[in-house]
Amino acid sequence: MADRVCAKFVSKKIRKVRWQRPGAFGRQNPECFVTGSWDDEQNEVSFWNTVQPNEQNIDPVLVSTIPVSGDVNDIAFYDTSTFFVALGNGSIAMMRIDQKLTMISEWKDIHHFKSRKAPATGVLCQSPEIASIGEDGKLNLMRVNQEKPYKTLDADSCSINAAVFTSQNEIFTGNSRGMIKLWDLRSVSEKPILSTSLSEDSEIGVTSMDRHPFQGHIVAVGGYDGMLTVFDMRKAQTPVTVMEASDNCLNDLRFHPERADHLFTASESGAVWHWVPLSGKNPATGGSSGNLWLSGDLATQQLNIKEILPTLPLAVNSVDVCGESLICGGDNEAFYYVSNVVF
Amino acid sequence: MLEPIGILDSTFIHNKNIGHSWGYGNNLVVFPTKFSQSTTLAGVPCSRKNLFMISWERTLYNPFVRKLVNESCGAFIAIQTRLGKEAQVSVSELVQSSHQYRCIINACIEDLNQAADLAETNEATQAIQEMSEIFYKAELVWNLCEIMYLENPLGILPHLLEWVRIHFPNALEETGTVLASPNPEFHESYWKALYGLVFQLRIDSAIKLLRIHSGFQTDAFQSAFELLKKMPVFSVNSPLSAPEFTFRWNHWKEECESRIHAGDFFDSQDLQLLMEILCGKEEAFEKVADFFETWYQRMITQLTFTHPTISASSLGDQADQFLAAFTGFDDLSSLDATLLAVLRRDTRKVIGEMQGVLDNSWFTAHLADLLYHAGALQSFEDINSLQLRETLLRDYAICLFSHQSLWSVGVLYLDHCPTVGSATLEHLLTRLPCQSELKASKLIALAERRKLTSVVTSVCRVMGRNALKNGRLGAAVAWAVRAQDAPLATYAADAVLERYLQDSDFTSTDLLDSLGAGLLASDRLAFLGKYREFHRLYSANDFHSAATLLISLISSRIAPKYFWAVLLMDALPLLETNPPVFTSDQTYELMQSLQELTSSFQDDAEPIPHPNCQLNSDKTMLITLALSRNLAKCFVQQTGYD
Repeated sequence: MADRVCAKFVSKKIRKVRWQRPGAFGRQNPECFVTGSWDDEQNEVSFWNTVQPNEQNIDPVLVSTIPVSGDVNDIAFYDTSTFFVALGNGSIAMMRIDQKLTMISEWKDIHHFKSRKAPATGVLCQSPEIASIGEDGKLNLMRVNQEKPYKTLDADSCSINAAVFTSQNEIFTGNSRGMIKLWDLRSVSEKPILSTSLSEDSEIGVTSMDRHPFQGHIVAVGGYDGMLTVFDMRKAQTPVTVMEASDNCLNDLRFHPERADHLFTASESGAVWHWVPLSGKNPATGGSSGNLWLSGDLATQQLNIKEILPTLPLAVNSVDVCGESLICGGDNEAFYYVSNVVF
Repeated sequence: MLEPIGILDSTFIHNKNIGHSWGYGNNLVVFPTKFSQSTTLAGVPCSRKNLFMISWERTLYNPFVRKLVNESCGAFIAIQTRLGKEAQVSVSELVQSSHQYRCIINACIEDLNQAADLAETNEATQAIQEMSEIFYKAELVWNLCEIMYLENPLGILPHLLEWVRIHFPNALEETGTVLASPNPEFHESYWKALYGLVFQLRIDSAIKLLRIHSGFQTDAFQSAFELLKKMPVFSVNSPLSAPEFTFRWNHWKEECESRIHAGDFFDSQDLQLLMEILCGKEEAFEKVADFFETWYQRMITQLTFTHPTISASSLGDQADQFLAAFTGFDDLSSLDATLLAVLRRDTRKVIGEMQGVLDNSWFTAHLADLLYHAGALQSFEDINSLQLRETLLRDYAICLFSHQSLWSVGVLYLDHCPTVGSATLEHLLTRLPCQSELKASKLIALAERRKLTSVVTSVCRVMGRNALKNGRLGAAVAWAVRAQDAPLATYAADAVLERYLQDSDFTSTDLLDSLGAGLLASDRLAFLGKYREFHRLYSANDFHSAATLLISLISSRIAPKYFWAVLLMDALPLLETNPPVFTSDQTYELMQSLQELTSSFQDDAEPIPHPNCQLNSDKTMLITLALSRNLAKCFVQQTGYD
């Protein structure tokens, strides 16, 4: 069966798309997603619904929109209805989905330079912890009910571009020069537990990161040069696997939340790829030794790359997948909704 | 539609002269000035006066029209990619692309109409409706261009008739109203609707309408019915060749005329008129002249019944005649002028007219591109078709660049301007405001893919400068290294050293320790890296290596002079070790630099960034003492070896 694709032009360049995870963990497909725009006079966060009364039409419908000041650089869900937005004006906004979108609160200007605001580049949640990163190299830690970050680490002298929680108390960050660091949130010192480089000549910056949904110690990192690097946090000094994903900047990458052998990437050159494990050679998943992503050089031979869409003329900035539904969007001011990704 | 805008500034009240300067795309800067007597053109701006930047909206920036911009970009790129692969694109493929463009325009019209219904104020509704109307006209022209230039079939009239059918559905609508009325045959528009159907050769519908007339069983109606049914139609998919068709047509027409003469339709004036229309009689068309909204509708209809196989080349002359008879040439609307130009196959005039009517070159750029690939774009003495296409594409791209967000689409169009595209892109990209690293990295990626190194350097420089301004020294160093910009690297390294002097600790150590080959971007940066390494060695208790490094920093003169005092003070604890880590030669080296520093201090008025760099008499004394003690230790040690 061919993929069913629906394109929708929204008249804003899309920076981030994220599915609202269904309440119960299972195979059920998601219904709603959130998009955020960037690089416009008035940017916005929008909430879309894919479930139609009319079955013929799979066009997602715009439910509600909130204008925001500054680029929407990241969107992260805290629970099934609350999510956080990292903004280009240095603030982190908390929004909730009820019937429509509502802005709950905002941590204003928690990323700033000496005399002006610094863009927040990312936000990440591991309930109850919320962390934000920014161009000012700071790592802020927050809790939902607190007015201010309870801890701020001066984590980097360059911009931090991506970060993930690898465990309840550890955050892995990557900067614009390819330096990656592991931070222990309980530690009193301002130094990372570990600091290394994406590649030998550390000029290639980190653009995106995602953590394996079941094994938090496995982290995939995307770079400006289109390389996909997989780290095992238990021996993080050197990457385990390096693969060339694209000849151009990897803007976003996501593991499938349930089928963790499948990975999805979006690139600056306009390609959206689905990394499919070759079934025959696929070792039994589950045991860490048998994990596909840790099998070193073999990984490239065990993976097939499938194009989700014909390459678009402009960059695809974000991709997200849940169940059999995929959504991606980018600089051609459109998002693409694929309702039945074939695995 | 245009309303005057005012700029509130007292300088304009006292000064009647206004100077101006055009920006790229849609902006203009105005300022009060005094025009000097000798030169009339260039104004000299008065001192300390405001500059006012005026920019204006384009239809393209409307949120509904932005969809058109982005969608059509996809279609445009598809054509260019196909051309890149095959060098020659078939006409049918171009026609397909043309269809795609028209679909995009139609989707845009639909969106605008929906928006007009939902608009809150009357003005807003009106504005959107006007926009929608413009796109409707644009599509009308585009479709005609598609028929005339791209398809250019042998029998052109059926295609033109199809064009009229699509754009003037009122015949069908009128039929609908007539049929919906309780007693259709007595409806005032019954015959008008019937003629309307016949005009568009919707014969089946016309017959249906005729059948519901109560007089259908009479001889006159039966005769008309038979003739209508027998009418040969020269259609787009007709299997008949033109001569064969003409033969049948003439035969049928003779029969019509003979029946009219025989008085078959004497009872019914309306039927009589219908038959005369079928025979293509001028007088008959005069009688129904009011039924035509436009001259081209009438022209195409009348030609269908008089010259069904007319060739495309004779259409120009016909158009002149029909237009003259219908409205005259005196106050020709630009739509009429454009359509006339299309029928006359004057592509330049078409483009000129459309460029004049629309506030952007979306239409002309895309159309010219298609026509160029089809070989239908004319060359002229002053501009050949290649240049014309390129100029229009560039114009469109610049228009997109003057929008905050649409610039990324503009880039793709400049890629297809073979002669000026790259230079224009370089120019525009370097002037794009860049508020975030994300945008900077996108610009760099774009520039790198197109080998525009100057853009990469310029963006890195701007970002580096911003980082310095924001007090982000590490980031500034990183950008300077990336740009390979030695002055900026030096500047940033100095800033790091200065901060070290202030805090007695390094900032951005994570960066400095990982710069590697990047340190070579400037001498100062290299020094900074080495100095940092000295500290590392020292704190690792590797005194010998630390001492050697320190000496090499001084003797190679890589250290800035203002920093020498700091280096000498750093040497102090190393001088006090026993056994000594500095050899006697190294000690002499240090002594020499101290000498140089103390003697040159007065005449050299180099600014001192920090009091720590000041070599006062106490420090000099301390260092001298340590140096001589170390020298003594060296001698003792040496004698011991000897």
